[in-house]
Amino acid sequence: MTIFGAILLPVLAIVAVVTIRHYRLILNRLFGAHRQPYLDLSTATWPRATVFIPCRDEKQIGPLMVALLASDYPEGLLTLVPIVDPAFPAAAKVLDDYAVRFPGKVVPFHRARSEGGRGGALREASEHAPGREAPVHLVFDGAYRPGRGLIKQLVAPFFDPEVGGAFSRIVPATIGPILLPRLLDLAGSEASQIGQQARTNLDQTPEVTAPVMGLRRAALEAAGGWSGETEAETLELGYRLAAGGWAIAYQNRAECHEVTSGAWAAYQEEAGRAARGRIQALLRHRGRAGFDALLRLARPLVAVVLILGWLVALAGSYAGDPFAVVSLAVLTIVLFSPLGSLVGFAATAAAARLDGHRARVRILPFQALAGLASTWLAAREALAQLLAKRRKPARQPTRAVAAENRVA
Amino acid sequence: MLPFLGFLLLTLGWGLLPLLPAIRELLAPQDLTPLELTDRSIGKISYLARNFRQYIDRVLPQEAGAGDYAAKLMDGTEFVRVTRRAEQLASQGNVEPRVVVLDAPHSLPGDRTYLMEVYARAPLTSGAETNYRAVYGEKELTLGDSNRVFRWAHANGTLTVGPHSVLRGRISSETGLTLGADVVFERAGAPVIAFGKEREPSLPSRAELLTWNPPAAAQKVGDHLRVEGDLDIPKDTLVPASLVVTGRLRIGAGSLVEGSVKAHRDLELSERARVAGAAITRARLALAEHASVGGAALAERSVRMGRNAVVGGPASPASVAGVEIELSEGATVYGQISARRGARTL
Repeated sequence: MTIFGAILLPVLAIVAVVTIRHYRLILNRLFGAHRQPYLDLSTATWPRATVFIPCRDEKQIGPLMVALLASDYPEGLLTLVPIVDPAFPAAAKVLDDYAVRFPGKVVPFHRARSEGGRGGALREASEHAPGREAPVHLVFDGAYRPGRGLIKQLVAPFFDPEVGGAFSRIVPATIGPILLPRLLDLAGSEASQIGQQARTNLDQTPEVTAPVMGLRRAALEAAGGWSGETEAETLELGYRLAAGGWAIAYQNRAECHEVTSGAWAAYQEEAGRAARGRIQALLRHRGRAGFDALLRLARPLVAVVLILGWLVALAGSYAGDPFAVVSLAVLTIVLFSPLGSLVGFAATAAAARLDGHRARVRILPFQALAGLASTWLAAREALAQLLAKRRKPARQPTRAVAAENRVA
Repeated sequence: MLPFLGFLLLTLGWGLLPLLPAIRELLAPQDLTPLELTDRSIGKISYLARNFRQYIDRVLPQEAGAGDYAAKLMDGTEFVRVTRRAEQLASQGNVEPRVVVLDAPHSLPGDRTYLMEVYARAPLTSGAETNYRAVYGEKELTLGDSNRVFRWAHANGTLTVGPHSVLRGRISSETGLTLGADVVFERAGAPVIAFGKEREPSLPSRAELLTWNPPAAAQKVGDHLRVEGDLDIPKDTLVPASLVVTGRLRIGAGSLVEGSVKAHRDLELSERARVAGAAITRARLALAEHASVGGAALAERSVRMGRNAVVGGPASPASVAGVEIELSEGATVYGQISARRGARTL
């Protein structure tokens, strides 16, 4: 076997494993039985719950507070604890106004110092803020807009003593005419309808990828609390809960709107943060996570492998290596094909069908562009993270931003 | 040069042909509406009934011309209003095609079909073999033997359902729902739902129970105990914890679990056994005679409630959910019952 073959064979094997795994999820979601065990739990004696809200942007926090205050959760059982960062005085002022208008219901928690990003803020608040003694903790980031019934839907799984964490489906609040938010909308459908729900059906642990979730306080404490040392704190905590014997409940029929700018720079930052967070979680859990979990956490590394495969196959085909020519053809098909791949055309099409979307699925071919971009971003961040080993959370406010807020 | 450019354009055009729908959607989007949040109020059992009530209030307020007459509502829907002369209803072939508004107490004759909604401002009783699309009672509503409801039924007073009835859709009451024998339904919600006479949960006396010793392999996980494999809790035993059992769980007669329980396989509560919290199973849930669950009772397969078994309590509403649910006489649920494939009284 040539050197090209020796490199490309494992690359093709990894791509095959990922493709088979993806197809298993798609087929399960399309034709399998669906588990939604907490869907009909709408009448109950509801427990006390506290919502922790890490705050930075005073423009975002208002609409979120309005949405949370409109919740149909029983009066007197819900406390909202916005976590006020000293670097963002404008947000602090808005939240203090809310505390005056809703005494006892909105109780801001003022941090003395900004440390540890969102995870650090949540750790500090869940250990010291008023309302921390509630049996159920909920987390909402400023960019999310819950519907009236979402709190109940996130709390319902906690009647099951095995459930340590619960999370909902995230859907974009607006979709602009430009390509990126539309592709992200399709990718979000795929992640929820296929990835999360199929994993729930197959008894695999779904992944908490967005900073919107519910937690049993006892589970949070048993798992060691929030971590300020990762950039994907909910993802990492989800794996810690699972490793501790807790179940993670995914509520596919509980949707939460997300406000996104749709700008390339924001997407780049978010995708980079997600990739770094995955690698951080992989490094932390590589010894105890199962095969499927490892494969999911190693997704950014698979992107590295894929790029390596393309480069080697290209070089090999120019060098006249027959195996490399075949591999190049295979990897090209993997990139742009409905056969199923990292890009996940088949999964996205299936998800669009399940969501009842018609016309928007026509832009599916353009997902190859998103696939290329996300593969490159993930590979770049994975390599950077591996080389840097430890890196400060990207969500830490920069000095410039903090100074700007002070001026405001 | 020209032939080459022509060939190039042709090739490019040919290559782009399959992408035409994508390019068209990209340049002239037809589908940019974000996915709507599921309005969970739709999930409330009485949602459709409440909507209908608001509609009637809007288009035909009570003070607007009571009497016996037929007319059209503002939106063109035909209705018949009845104060005294109920015999005008379903006069042709026992079928009434109009919305019916009843202003006074009535006992409707049986063997009739109401193709549109029936709205009763006073107590209403229907005879046997009556078919309703939907029926709303401001006061008590009594459905006779073998009645059928196809969409929803709601009463502000007590809703009583005669034996052998089939209730599709949502059945609800603000006061209580009493079911006869051999009644089939899908979703029901009321402060108390009972097959026959309602019961209150029987609470084992804590002082008379022996404290449970967990098996050596039981593992403490946060606030509960996790037991791998099957577990039998002896009779008259007090379990002062929540349990997660990866196999089958059987709770002995008269025993009390002070927390919640979850079983990955079948979950059985023997006679007079009680779980103070929720009882949840990945398979089947069986409550024997006088057994009770204080919180939610959820099964991913079936739920069977024995005679006088109780879920929830007068001050603690709860949900019972399963694919199929069976209720024996005296079975009582304080809250809501949801059965995806149907529930029935035995």
